[in-house]
Amino acid sequence: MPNSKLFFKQDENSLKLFLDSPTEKVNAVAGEISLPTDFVLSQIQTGNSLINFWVEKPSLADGKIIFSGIIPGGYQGTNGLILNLTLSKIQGLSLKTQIQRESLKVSNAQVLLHDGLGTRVTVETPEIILEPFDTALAAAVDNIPPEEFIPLVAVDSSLFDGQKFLVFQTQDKQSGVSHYEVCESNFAWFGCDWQIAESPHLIINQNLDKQIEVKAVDLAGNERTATAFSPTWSPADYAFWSIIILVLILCLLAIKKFFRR
Amino acid sequence: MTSFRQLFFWLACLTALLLLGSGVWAEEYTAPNFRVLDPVLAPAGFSTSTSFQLFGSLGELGLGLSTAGSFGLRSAFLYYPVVETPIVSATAGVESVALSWSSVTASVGWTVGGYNVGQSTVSDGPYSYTSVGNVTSSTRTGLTAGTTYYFVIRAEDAFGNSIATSTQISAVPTSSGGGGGGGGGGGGITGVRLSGRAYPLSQVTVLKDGQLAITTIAGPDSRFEVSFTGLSSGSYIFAVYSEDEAARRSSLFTFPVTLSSGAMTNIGGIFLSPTIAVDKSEVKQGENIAIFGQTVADSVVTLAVNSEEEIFVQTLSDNDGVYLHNFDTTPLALGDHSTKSKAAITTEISPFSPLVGFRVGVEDVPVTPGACPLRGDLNSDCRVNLIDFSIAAFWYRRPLDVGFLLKEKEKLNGDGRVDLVDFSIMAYYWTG
Repeated sequence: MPNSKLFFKQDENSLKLFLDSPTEKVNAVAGEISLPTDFVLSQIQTGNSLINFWVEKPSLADGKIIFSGIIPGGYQGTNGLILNLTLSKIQGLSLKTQIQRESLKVSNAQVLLHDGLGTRVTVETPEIILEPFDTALAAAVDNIPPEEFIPLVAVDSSLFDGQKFLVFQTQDKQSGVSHYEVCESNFAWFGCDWQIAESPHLIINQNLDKQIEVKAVDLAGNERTATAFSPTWSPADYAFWSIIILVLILCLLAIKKFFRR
Repeated sequence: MTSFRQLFFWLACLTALLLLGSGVWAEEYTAPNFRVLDPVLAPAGFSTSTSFQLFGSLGELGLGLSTAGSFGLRSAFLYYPVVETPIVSATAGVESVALSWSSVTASVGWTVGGYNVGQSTVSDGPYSYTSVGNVTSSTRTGLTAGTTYYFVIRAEDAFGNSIATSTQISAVPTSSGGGGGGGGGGGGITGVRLSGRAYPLSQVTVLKDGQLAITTIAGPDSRFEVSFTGLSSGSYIFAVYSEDEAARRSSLFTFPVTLSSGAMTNIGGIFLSPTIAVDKSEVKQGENIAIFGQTVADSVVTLAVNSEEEIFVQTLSDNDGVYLHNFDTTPLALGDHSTKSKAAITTEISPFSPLVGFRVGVEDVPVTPGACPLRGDLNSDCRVNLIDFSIAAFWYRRPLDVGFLLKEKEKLNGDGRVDLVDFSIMAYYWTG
């Protein structure tokens, strides 16, 4: 059975989780990280991660970070970044206490072969003894928005009772994507009621006669907006709006003429 | 009569002396458990050329018939390609070039022990080689800014013998004052250039981080080249596949690469796997099954058919890159089997194609062309992409309804739930 390894490396004020799979191509990774009680998690960054599609985006719940995701086409190599944790330490613990308590490893790890069957490989998950973090170090500045992307409108009988839904996904190479927001409006340029959303997202306006925009926001707050759907105007729409504009112009001319008198 | 006897005696003596002098004895290939009859010896150096050396071989009467306790005996023909050539990326830096390459997959008894980086300022060498160990990246430093450097990566086996050499890739190091070229050109633009071989005039699709980025058409010589610019620095996974005229796809070739700000990265020597198909889903034992597909024109195609021992056969592709081999199923046992192919041209060897399955049974059943044969294609649009991923993600760890249970059985692993295994299947069949 081929081997892979999920291991941590401590780097100044962050803790990075890597995947090694030097001999076999793998395409799915999952695991859990139980945080030491005397550390506070500042941020989970997924920028530059090997994982292109998160099944479970890493997030903290009940002191655990659970993650799973896939790499289409597979990965074979060493030091493939999975995620990056920024931690800060609660003050007041002795060094001895730190060394005894502050160890970390991935539990319930799964790495699956890129074989079309999802065969599990054995995963080594070595423990790391954490060094005190330098909380004075500032995190790298991220002023680059997420990558450009194209949201898609889809229909499938097995989802949302066959109603139309949106799918979207992008990457952010610095801090990672924090969340997505969706807006359905014909007047998005006047401001929009952005709603936090996850893919797949059920479209409210099933008639698709309003513009649908999706916004990806990274952990630093940078935004990338993409249009998922833009209603096409029929000849009747053009005629209607042309008449409205013509009437408005005529009204303006009439008002102007009235005041000249 | 006497003279005939004397002549016979002297001829016998001469023959015995010749045999003694050559040191060949029938006993030489005999062991308690087997005997090799009538061994054929080749003179030293007969099987050696500039690109390979044959150190020794043992012929089998049939595949898998020999065993040994003190050394590994692999059932294969040594001259069949079993190692794919490494794909190399080059990113120019300040008086340096960062190289990374795909890990070479060896099989049929070969293991990769390490890599050598060949470097030259002259295209096609000669190269000066540096051993870098069993790693897949190396940064060459102390280079002259503005000079074009050419690199090849040579994979070695466990004994230090060269078993595969990449195609050449170039880069122009920059000066500390800025400017200059990236991996073969560039000048301040962050981007990537991918080049390699597909099939004559075939469509080549490039995925960036799993999503469709661009498509292009390969030339009549099967070569393609595509560039992306305007990317931000960071780690990307580029994936490339090609489709033949019948919309059959190659394996997805993936290459993780870290782009540097203001530099073009060249990824060269991509050799997409052949496409593959069979004419029967079930073949009567002893009948032929046609194995066919498309690859580079005029290449040597190796077909691997799995059985108790893997069977290898070779055929040639024609001017359009099309290959066809009628495989005799006599040696195959009744039951399910699969086949895959790889191509070789000059010193380049492709990875294996996707597996295609067939059954050896009691009757011939032709393959019925299906619209969407792909597993993982949940919405039946003949693609496996973000839409399918999102559909599966919706059902992840949820009880499945009746409609999706059927899909899960047909398109995923059929265990009645959606878990990581199902996503792994989708990642394998991913088309973007």
